[in-house]
Formats: sequence, C-alpha cells, structure tokens
Amino acid sequence: MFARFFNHLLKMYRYRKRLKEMKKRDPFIYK
Amino acid sequence: MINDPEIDNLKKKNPQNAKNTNDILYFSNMYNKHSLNKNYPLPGKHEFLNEPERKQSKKDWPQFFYHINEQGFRDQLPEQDDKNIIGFFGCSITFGEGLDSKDNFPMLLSNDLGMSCLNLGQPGLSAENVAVIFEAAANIWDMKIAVVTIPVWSRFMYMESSGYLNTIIPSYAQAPGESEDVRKAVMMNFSDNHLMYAFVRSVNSIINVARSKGIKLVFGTWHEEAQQILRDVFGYEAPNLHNDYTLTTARDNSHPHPDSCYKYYLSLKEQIDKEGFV
Repeated sequence: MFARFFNHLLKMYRYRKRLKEMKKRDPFIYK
Repeated sequence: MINDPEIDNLKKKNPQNAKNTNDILYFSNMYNKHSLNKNYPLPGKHEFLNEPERKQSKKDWPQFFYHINEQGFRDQLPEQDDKNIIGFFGCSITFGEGLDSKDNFPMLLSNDLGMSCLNLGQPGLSAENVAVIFEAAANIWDMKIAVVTIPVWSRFMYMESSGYLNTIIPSYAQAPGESEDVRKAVMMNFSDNHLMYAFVRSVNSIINVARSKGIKLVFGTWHEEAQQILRDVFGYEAPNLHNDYTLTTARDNSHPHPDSCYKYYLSLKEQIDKEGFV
C-alpha cells in the first residue's frame, strides 16, 4: 500500500519536473 | 485484415500519393480536426484565428487579416506549372501567427528573390509533421528552393484513431481524450533520446526528398537545441530566429516580433546568397 502510494508520488514528481523542462523548451502557446 | 476506411485514410496521408494542389489539404490543421485544432478557422479572411487569440492579443497593434485558402494554409498557393517557387515549411512561426504576412520572412524573402511564395507552415507542427508536408509538397510543386524552419525536437507526430494527424506538444495539455492520454504517456515514458531521434530521422527524410527532387534546401530554426543537432549531427550551420520573448512579441503576445522575423529573413538571404544549402 505504502509502496504504491510512494510510486505514485514519485511518478507525479517526475511528471511535474519534466513538464517544467518541456515548457521552458517550447514556450509557444498553441490556441 | 485492415478495413477499407483505414486503408483509404492511409492512402490520403501517404505523401507519395500527393499529386494535385488539393491533396495538400489532407495535411492541414483545417482537415485534421483533432482536439488541438478545434479552433482552426475555415477558408476565408479572418482578423484572428480564433477567440483565444483575440483575447490574448495586443489591442494597439495595426489591423491585419489571415487569408486561409481552400486547402487550409495561409495566402494563395502558387499554380502547379509555376517553375519559380520558393517553399516555406515549419510551424506557427512560418505560418506567421500574430503577424501580417507582409511582415513575416516567407513573404519578405520571396519578394526579395522575385519568386512565388509557397507557405505551408501550420501552427503547432512537429519536425515529423513538417517532413510529411514537405514530401507531399515536393510531389505537387516544382520548387527551386525550400526553407524549412524546423521546430523544437520535443514535439511528436501522432495519428489518432479517427485518422486525424495530430502533434503532441509535451508541455501543452489538450482537451480530454485520446491525444491527451498519449501526451501524458509521452511525458511519463518517452525518453528525450527517442524524441530527438525522431527529430533526426525527420530531418533526414527532408534532406533525402530535397536531394531526390533537386530542391535547394535551407534549414533554419527558432530553437537552440534544434540548431545544435543540425550543427553537430548533420554538420549544417542553420540560421536561428532569435527573439527575446521577455521584451518583445507579435500581436498575440506569444510569437516573434516582426523585427526578429526581419533579421531572420536577412540571415536566410545571406545563407542563400552564399549557397549554404544542405
């Protein structure tokens, strides 16, 4: 249970970290 | 067995099958009505591409219009028997989002060279989408020169179950649905290496098509990492469209200012004058 929750948190952390990098890389707002 | 509608869609989207001006329609944002393109306008004259652009635009900018042709691209396409064509390929920056056509580099450069302008830029495209459009265009028009302003490597082409060609922009969430699920999956699971290699293969495809058709090819870019790959992997020094977005932008408060596009036009002209083709 704890391991699954920890994995979820880790995944979310990695997602947000990569999103930040990707936004910096490609700043254009597509409408 | 694959069913007939799927085969028919693959035939339409196979750039080798593009023969007539109307065939370029299948690669346009207007035709590919996936969630990212839901606001793309129909043929005609438009002050703004859509409501979100109107809302975020500068109010004091001189008025201009987008002319969307029947194939979903900007301005008039040259005739197929025209032998003096310069083609422009890329994303929103080539399309000229937030800019009057006369202020963007395709019009400036084609007027300067006295050539017919074929602008096949479309908002949001990845390098792979650009490569597919370039291949289709090379089968339709007899281009003397092509200027490919290659986008950042992180964008990714994806064909939805509906058959529509979409671009996955990792940093840009789409409406809930298939492409948004794929975007999240790409973000979570696809390595940078995979995306960069897809970019490299797309650049290769563009080069191979240009060589087979005898088109003089110039690469440019608006991204330093794309420029780095072109330099270090392909040995090609591509002009870069620099714009300090913290200081100045186009009407839409997002894309490069006309001054930056003018400088880019000058650097492309210099590249052509010194025969800096790929």
